[in-house]
Amino acid sequence: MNLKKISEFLLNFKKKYIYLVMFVLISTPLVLKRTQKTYETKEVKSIYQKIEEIYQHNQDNPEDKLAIFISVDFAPSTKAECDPMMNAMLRHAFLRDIPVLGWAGVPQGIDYGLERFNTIAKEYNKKYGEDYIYLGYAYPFLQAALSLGTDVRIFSSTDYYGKDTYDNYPIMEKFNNYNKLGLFTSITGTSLAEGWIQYANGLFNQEVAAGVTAVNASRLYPFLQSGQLVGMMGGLKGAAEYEQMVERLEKKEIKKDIKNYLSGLYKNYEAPEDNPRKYDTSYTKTELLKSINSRKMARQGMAAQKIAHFYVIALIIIANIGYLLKKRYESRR
Amino acid sequence: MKRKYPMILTFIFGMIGLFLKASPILNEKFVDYLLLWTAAISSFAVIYSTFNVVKHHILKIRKKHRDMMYSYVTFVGILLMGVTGFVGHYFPQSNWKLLYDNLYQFVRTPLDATMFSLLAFYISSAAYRAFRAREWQATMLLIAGFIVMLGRVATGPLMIFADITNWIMLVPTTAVMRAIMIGVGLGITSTSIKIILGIETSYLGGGK
Repeated sequence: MNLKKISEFLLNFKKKYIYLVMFVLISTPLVLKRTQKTYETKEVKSIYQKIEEIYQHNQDNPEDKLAIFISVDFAPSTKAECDPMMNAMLRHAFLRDIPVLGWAGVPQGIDYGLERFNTIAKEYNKKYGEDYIYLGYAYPFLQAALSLGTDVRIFSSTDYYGKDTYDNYPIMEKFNNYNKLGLFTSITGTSLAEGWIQYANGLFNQEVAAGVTAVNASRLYPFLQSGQLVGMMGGLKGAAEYEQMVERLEKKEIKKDIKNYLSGLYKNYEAPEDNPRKYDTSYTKTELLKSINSRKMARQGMAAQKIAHFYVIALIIIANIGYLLKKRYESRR
Repeated sequence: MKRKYPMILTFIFGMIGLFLKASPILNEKFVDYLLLWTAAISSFAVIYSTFNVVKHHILKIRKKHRDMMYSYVTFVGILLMGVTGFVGHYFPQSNWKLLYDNLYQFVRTPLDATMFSLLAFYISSAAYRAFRAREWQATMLLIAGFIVMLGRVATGPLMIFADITNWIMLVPTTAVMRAIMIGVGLGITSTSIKIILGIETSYLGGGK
């Protein structure tokens, strides 16, 4: 009798309470802004290492520099996982003075990607068209991937702002095909990373890295093992690892508290009339706060994810104890 | 006739693609033209799909479907984002651009993110109801799931799970995914050949 009651209790938690507890558990660390450190894996370290190699190459060969290309292949739905990856990678590149080219592989990511590029570029005083460029929407995918084999300007004859990429931007003169790219990165919640591996790496031997959502990560492990993928950031954990590494580098390079650094960045700067920058050269209090918070976004997410994982494990254990008790009770009858 | 010409075109362009790939000299000379043409053709797909969405929702409203309210919402969304995005793009200093940015940032982004984040709730409920150690295969899956969930967030004494998680992802997962991908790759190749040779015609529609 007792067994029956206990098993029925354990097996019949109401859905609304399960949801409510999940909501409270996830929101508490996010509201309290708790962060969670994570261990660093080989897959993520190798991306970081690759960018460091490009930096070293650019230092040794200032006339023959390499750039990186970031394809914003995600929609806001997967922003929680993909956004910190993109932030960390952009920060790493700009810290190391590596030119960055970018576009969006999905229509929902076009404006989002641009906003991220401009926001992070502003943190390092980078100029649009010289240090970075955003080419808008890379549609159709196949043509976009193949055009980089010769000259991407055939495909992207204008940038996001509609300006001719042949005449207006020095960065496009130097970096317009795979030969001038040290690394191509697809940050995505879709299967586009596999497309880049097939075309950019398969046809043109371009080194490709991927930042993908956790559910997509398992699909890319074979490419890691075969060497077709330089490295991979898988889900929030991968993002947190990269974020940690870039934070260490930033502390080492900037040697200042980040708030002081950002507040002082444009203090004595007078924007010329033909300001080529695509951002305001000053920081409001909200912008400062946002910028500081975005440096630990993935690790804040990891704190919430940790609790959520423990909660799901606890639920599974409870349900299985209930199931075993029910089985025992039924076999006794 | 309706099917004959598309099939001939598919064959010709399929063969062109093959020859270009086989000959580096031809490839270098003509691949850029091919890219421009296909990019132009793909633009028509966008027009066609927009037309299709509009047609679908007009029919819904005409038939007074019980969910026709959502069709109105779709039209309002398309018009609002379309007009503000289009005008805002050409007048970046105008209020249209500001409106578009705000709609994107404060309506589109949270809506999209909310839909995806609901997964956390569904998974907790589904795991509670469905994840049972009924048979040994299910028990194995359960144990692997436990280890990976712990391994992903491991710190301190739980680090042992991190090592086992890495092994699970790098060995069994990779092996299974590779087998699936080889199967998919062979399937894509054979379907492509069938399409080029006109054996597979379902892409033309019509059911025959």
